[in-house]
Amino acid sequence: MLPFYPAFLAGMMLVVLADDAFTFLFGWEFMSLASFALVVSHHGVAENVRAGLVYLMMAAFGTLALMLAFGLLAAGGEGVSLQALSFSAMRAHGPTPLAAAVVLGLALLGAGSKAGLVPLHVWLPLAHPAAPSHVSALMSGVMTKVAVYGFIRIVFDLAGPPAWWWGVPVLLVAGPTAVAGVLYALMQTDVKRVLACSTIENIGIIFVGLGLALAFEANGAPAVAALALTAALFHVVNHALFKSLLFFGAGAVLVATGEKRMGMLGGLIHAMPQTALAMLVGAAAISALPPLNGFVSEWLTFQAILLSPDLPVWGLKMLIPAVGALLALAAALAAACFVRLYGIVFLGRPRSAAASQAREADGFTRTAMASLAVLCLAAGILPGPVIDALQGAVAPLVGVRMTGQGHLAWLSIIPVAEGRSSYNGFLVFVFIALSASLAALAVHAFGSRAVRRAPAWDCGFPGDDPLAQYSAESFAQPLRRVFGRSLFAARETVTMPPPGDMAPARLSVSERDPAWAFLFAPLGRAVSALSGRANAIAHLNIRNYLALVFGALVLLLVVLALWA
Amino acid sequence: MGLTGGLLIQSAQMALVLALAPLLTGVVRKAKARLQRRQGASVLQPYRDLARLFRKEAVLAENASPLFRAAPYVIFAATWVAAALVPTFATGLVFSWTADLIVITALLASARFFLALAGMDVGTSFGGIGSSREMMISSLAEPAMLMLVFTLALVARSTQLSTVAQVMLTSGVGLRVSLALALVALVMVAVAENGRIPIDNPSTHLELTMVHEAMVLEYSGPHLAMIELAGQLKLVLYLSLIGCVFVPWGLAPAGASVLALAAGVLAWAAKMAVGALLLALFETSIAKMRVFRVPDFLGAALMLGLLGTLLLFVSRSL
Amino acid sequence: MPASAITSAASAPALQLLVAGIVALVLLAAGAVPLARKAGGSALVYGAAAAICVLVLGTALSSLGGAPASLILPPGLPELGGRLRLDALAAVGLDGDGLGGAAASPFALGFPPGCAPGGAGGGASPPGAMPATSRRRNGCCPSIPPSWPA
Repeated sequence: MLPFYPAFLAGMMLVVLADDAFTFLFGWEFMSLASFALVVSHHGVAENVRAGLVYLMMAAFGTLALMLAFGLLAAGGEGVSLQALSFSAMRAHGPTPLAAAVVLGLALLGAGSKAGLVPLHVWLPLAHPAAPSHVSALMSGVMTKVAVYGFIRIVFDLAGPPAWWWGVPVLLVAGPTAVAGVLYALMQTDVKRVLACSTIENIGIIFVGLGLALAFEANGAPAVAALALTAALFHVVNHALFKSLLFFGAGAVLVATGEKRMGMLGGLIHAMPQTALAMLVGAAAISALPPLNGFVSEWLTFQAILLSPDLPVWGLKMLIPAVGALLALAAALAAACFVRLYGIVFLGRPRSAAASQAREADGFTRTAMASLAVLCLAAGILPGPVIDALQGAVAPLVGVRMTGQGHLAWLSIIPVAEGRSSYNGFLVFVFIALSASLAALAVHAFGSRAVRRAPAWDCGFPGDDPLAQYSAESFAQPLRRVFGRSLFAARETVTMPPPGDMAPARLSVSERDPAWAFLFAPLGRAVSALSGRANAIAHLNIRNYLALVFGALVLLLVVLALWA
Repeated sequence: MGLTGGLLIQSAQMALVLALAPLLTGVVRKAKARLQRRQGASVLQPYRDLARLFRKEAVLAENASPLFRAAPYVIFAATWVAAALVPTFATGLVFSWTADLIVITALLASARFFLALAGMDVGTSFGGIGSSREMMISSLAEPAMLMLVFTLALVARSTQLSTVAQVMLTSGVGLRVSLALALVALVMVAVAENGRIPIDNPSTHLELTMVHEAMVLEYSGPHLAMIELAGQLKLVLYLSLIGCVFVPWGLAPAGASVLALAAGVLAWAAKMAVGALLLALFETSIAKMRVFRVPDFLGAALMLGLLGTLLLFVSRSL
Repeated sequence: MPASAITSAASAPALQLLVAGIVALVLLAAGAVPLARKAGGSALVYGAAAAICVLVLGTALSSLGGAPASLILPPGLPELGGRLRLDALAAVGLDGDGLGGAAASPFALGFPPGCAPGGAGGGASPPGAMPATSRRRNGCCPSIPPSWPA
């Protein structure tokens, strides 16, 4: 699998640099196939092979959609020339409104399937965790961002000025993606799969920003569109940072214990303190907690949402606050999800021998994690320079740039106007640090410094088995009951032995992914039914084949004759 | 007045919320006791409790991690910073532009994040049950809070709390349906976030009904004092928030005279006292609900918040 | 595709550098086929990939605010060629690529990935049995020391 790693990187870079449809699709397929090879690198495990197969099919589907989108964009130029495939030619003659609308849909399908928009996300929780951890980090942190780049390039750059409603389908897909992604993550019990599902949530947040930018740009508010697009790009950067960090942490845990099932981990903060600290920063950042970076991009998105009453279109006026509510819900659930992940894996007592014998990760791993954690903090307390750096990309796409933020007093950011809203991550960080130190000093000066170690109190019942701790499943149980019943048809079945019987009681939980149950499973059944029928054609004799060929030929000629 | 005066007011506010937080809790407890025809402890009892806890040694579980020891300080600091940014007796605090209402909500979320983690640190079943339930409650309370922040922000065209208070105070906002919905939602969120009846019972130690107490079960000594103090600060924060947005009268504007500031402090104290009495009355007259009724309660708050926001999207004057 | 094969004049050094980086990655991929069997080969590949990604990251960061540059390479469709363009949006995208690669490659240096137990859902291996499991999978990764802590 070693050769595919640089190839994967090269493919992703080629996509971003491409200036014609052929190079773009070539790089896209290069990236898809190299990552497919990396996903099945442990092909001894049957599940990985299945993950790879689902991934391959979805990747082919996405490329097909993008190919059609580029075809529509290239059509309509004067003459028939391959020059029409260059992006500059596509920009020169914009598509017709109808073609542009179809291009938007195809871009949502093509780039969205790679990025993991619901309901095209089904491959993502299978494929991302199946790869080795550094490839998982690249797939979640970077490859989904290449897909976001593809969407921005096609929809914002090549498809011409947006119509008023373009934001609607994007927002309609993005809001539910954010909530569904984090709910999927809450139901998972495999560390890397939790992280992969949380990628779906973050892609939803990014696409909310993109949808807002489209809506505002098309309805005469380019300044707000610049704000929304900046928020989306900021979240792209943020997610690349903290998702890579979290996957590295998962990889370190995997190496140290050989486990990625949450039910076998626990207490790793004692054995791997540095990994645990870096992971804590990543978990807090992805939960959108100030003063870290994830909060800044969500805050900017909320500021854009709060400007939507100025929009002239009723549909958007009603849709955008609802999407805002979904975004708020997703943010709160993400915090629950990462408290669960971090609390089960790093805190508490070890749930297996492997977890209790873990050792700290090696220097390379720790350096990679520490530098990403520092970047998460830096982008959180110094958001101004990051916002300014993104304006070069924002300005050509929506026509205006946000006012400069980097030079404002005290490193604040003021996205719209001073009386309206402002945020200063640096001061919030300083204030929290100061108050915490003040409190610690006060306790040391006036309070008792004595510390005694004793068995856990646990309301008078200490010393139970480590397996009696709250587990990943039980932590999610309240949320599963609140959200999972209708959405995932989550059911709990309890089998209680009759009184006097010493057999263990059992609790089993079942849930299903509606996207799989209602979309992909019927599709798969239809395909297999059709192929079953078509299979009959493979066993005809020569006369029947000749008749079939003749019939097909006649039919084609008739169609051609009628067409003309 | 200049920067020095501003800094002085800001420091006074930080000290004031910290100094009066235990008193507010004491008043609520006393009022509840009187309503239940009990004598009740003195309103100063929370100070004595805190002083006692500060003087005791901290007993740590054998497998408590460094996170367990650091968390009380982080929780306290985040809550204190959030409480210091809510205008209590004066608007236009020097650092009010540091953080708007969304940031204040998120700072409380930070405190809760660490509290829930600390609950899971020792690895006892009670800590886990508390953390799990707390995150379930917050997953609904936080969006409800953000929705009513949206409502306020749309009325005042700002998420800056000082500006919101100024708008409510000066520009004749009047009675509005959306604000009424936001008030109801805010009260419901405040009840849930502070772990009051009917969501949680702050004075219970009956294992299966507790949420907050279950998370802090392993804490003792100064650590427990920090967490208790943070909880008391949170109550002050929410009551001040309700006061500054919905009853903004008496708030001293930016650059006010010393006299106006003193009047502001008095008005704030009066608002806090009324709020404490109402809270005690509410808690006495209602029974605690089952844990799985809580989502309905908070779902209603979320819907009210969303409805308020939507009304404002329909018409600016509702 | 060496940098001398450029046919368009309207290109900036940054873009040429990036193209060189991509070409180097492709060459590295080809070189990794024999290297994968050698001791220390994976360290070499990941080290080189990290260096290239740092280069790409630096170049992309420095061209965030610059004017768009483009060039046309001979390989590609007839009449069209392989067209590349570096504008600010592409620079943002490349920042992500470079950053991810620059962080993931040193991370991968830390432990040879072929040996880290992968597999979705974590197999049914009991906690104590990890060394055996990782030995079974060692075929794809001969550079692993025998006493690798699983």
